[in-house]
Amino acid sequence: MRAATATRRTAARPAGSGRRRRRSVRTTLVALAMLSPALIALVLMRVVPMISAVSESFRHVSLATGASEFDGLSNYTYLLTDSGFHSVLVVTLVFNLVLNPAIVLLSTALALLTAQRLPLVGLWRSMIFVPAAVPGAVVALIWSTALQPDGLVNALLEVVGLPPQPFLTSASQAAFSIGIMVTWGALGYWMIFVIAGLKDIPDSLYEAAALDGAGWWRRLFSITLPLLKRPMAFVLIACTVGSFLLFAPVQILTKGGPNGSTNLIMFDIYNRTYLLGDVGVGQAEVVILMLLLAVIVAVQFRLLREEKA
Amino acid sequence: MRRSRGGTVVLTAAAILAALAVFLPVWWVFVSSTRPGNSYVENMTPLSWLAFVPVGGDLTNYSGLLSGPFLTGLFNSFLVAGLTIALGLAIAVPAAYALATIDFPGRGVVFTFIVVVAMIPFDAIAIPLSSLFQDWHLSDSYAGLVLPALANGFAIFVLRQFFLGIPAELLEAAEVDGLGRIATLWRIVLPLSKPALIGAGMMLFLSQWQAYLWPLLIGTSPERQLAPIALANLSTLFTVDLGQIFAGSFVLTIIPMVLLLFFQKQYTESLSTTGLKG
Amino acid sequence: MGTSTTRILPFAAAIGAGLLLLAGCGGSSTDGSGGGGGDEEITLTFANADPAETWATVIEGFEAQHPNITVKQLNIPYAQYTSTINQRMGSGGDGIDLMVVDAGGAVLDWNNRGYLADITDLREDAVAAAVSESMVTAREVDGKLLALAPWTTSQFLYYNVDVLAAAGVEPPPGDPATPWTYEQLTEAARTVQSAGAAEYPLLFDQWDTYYQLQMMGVSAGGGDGIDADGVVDFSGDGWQRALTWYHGLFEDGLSPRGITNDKNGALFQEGKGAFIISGPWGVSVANAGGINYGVAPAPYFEGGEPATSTDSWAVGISAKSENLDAAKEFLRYLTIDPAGNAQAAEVAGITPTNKEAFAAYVEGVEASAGAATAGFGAILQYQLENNAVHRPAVVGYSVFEPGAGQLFSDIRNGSDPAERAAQADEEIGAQIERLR
Repeated sequence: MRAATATRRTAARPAGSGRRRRRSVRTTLVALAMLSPALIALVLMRVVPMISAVSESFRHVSLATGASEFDGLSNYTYLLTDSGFHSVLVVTLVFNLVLNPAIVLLSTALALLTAQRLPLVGLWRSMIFVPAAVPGAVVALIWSTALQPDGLVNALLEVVGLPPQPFLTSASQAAFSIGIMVTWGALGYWMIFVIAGLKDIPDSLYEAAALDGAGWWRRLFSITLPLLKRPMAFVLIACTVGSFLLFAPVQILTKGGPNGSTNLIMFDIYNRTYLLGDVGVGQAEVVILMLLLAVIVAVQFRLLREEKA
Repeated sequence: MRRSRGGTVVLTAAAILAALAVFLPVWWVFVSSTRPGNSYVENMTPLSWLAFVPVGGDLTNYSGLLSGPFLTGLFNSFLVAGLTIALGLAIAVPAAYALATIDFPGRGVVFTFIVVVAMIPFDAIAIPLSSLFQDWHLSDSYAGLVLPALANGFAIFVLRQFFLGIPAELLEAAEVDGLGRIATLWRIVLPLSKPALIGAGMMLFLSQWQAYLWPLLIGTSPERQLAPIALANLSTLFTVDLGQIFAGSFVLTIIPMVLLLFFQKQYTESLSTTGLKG
Repeated sequence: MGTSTTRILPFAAAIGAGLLLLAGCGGSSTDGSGGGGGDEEITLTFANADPAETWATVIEGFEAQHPNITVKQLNIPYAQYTSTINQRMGSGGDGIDLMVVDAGGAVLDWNNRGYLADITDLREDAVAAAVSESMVTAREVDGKLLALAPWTTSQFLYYNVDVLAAAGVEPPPGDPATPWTYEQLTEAARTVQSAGAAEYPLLFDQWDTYYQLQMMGVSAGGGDGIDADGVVDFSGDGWQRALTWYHGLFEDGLSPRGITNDKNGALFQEGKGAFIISGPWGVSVANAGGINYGVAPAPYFEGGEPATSTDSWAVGISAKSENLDAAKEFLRYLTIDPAGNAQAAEVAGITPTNKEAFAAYVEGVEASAGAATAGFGAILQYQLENNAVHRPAVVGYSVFEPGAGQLFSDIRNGSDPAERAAQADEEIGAQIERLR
């Protein structure tokens, strides 16, 4: 949308082609000047260390001698044929497939709710936001206590007459439990971005719709949600990236278990790189993760763009 | 928009319920922080109502906490997070504005680059980066703490998304008035962009507020220690005193909440309520 | 792995009285002629995985005696310690003069990589000064001494006197030569359970860690679980006996699932547990809660050998150090010098390895809790001298240890011990083979 307007703006200018070219050169220079601090920071703080990480992914380090030698693609072929890595991929993909849409939907719902004019709504909104700021180690402390077999959650289940659940100690529930924990920490954070988008929808649209006699649901589906597409797209993408890089709760609570059921890819990378000392394979896994993320984000961009058209 | 009184009651009840459900674990942290030492476990197995009601508690954990290195850590965390917000926005805003409003060759490539780089997992590159910082003589300095957080691709992303929504007519009008690009950005666009600035600022703030691995890697001396490290050091001082850890966590948690409450007003203003749009 | 270390670390509790005294006297009586070269200014860089406070006291003491030497710390987070050292030493040493070396395979790995200087010339003095000879020789590879340990650990069976009385259980004997068997312990825990005297009859300080469980496998006759060639074997009769016992504790509800390691001390401290198997730091943990408790030697399997886990960080000198003499002087101060060794252990509140420092430490601990800890020193010394099991210095240990942790964790959560052990043998073995 914006690109079109911008083109329109440039094209509309009646100017000689020479002047225009000079102007476009100057515009490009201005753009570069505005972008350069950010680009320099990104290159120095992210790309340069990433390159050294990638070059490690083509090397094999001997555990016995510490000797490091160029080993071509063997780290990659090892990973792609390793059944352990296959299950890491499956666990990671399924986890994200469930988690991210859930977070986007719930945080949008909370945003819609707390963007209403209600008594003390600022306080409720701030309370929902709070978990985003809880230090990681404390998140784990809270939830390992709440989810332990005789903990808070089971006590609540008992009150409503349900049997106690094993949660983090069971292969079938551990990933789900970690998902709940992540959702709790993420909801308020992403809610803020959706609210920012909501605030951007002109009241006049709603007033016009109200004059037409459109009910709440009509307005939600014909005005609010379509105009929320951009912030929701951002939330979905940023949230996907964040969830793929999820690591601390796994390390603190389950170490990938029971039986590999929570062995998400970032934990596997950490495990191989720092604990097993298999640096080459760990870095190859980072590269695969990056490629995977790039593909997923590109698909998300594409889907959201097509829907808009 | 008008709403029936019944609707307001239902929605308020829903908001309160959601807020309480999400806030309950944090409240538990607070109540536990009023129990000296590890005595909070008294109320945990079996679970007692005292785990959620601070009856009989006291604030000794807080006085113990605030007389130790945690206070220095809190000061440093504020300093580092403040610098990160100011410098981070100073870097991200012009970049995002250029991406959103200037049509230059290679714009798509630059944008894609920024998004891709934002996906690089920082934990995975922290070690090579820390040796680079050693070579650049940046270890154990405030600059070393702040710099990596300035490269925040998502802050650029979120600002760009917002700038894209600013009506072109507004910018054209400014140009007609003879305002330069920078002046337009500073005088017209930024005052409209408070929600986005707060959103991006919050990303920058939280990335530093919870910083843990990086400050450890570049070796901060005690006078430059950040609050989460001071908190973690409490727990390596054996887990004997979980009460103080709860207290420190509650302090670290409640500060962003207070900040958000404080910014509510600016935050809830927007293009539509300022009357410039629609 | 240093799980023990990180957990133990600086709980600078009430223990120190005796230590402080010794450190003070020792410091003043030793003159500063220890050496470290002439008058030139030397800076030593000491890489470790602890908060700076842990080593600050001993560094101050050393610098006071050696005005021309400054010791600079490089505090690296524990989780990144090994990989950071590998990276820095691999690329030229980066000015590191001394570094802490974890128990187990690290000393071998780093010897093979040429990181560690041969300090065999300190061996004689070190053995003479140490509480037991094996805490020195555990850091030898091919007859070369590569590191010296300022700290050591052991394991004890702590019990809550009031809980046992309420359940009608006779407390375990304090004589280190006749510990309870694990079978006796299980029976006692069962009695506590059926009497409802405590929520958690039996706790471990560190669930699922190799440090905590190694002694059980060894006691049951299963050995270390890995041999010198890197062959992993948790499927033999010995380890299967230990693992089946471990599995049963959780199946029967004698020990809890889902409790993380940061809470065990707190639970025992607050009277929620009847027994806890924990290290020497368990004394100050228990003291802080004001419960009525006692200390007994760690159990063993009936018909098996008594065995107790031990060790913590040691300190080695970089083979690339340009200040070898000064570094040796510092290492000597950390371990062989009684006052220095006492200072080295003081902040961490951990057991020092030097005989004199050890005696003062024991005195302090025993004075801290009256009757409850009266037998503490005798048990600690006996176990260190007679049945301490050191973690094996074998190639692949760094892979083996986390793999073993996952095995134990899965068994705790209900996996079948035989099946899961067979899987671990194969997977860990393959991983070691790959990295050879």
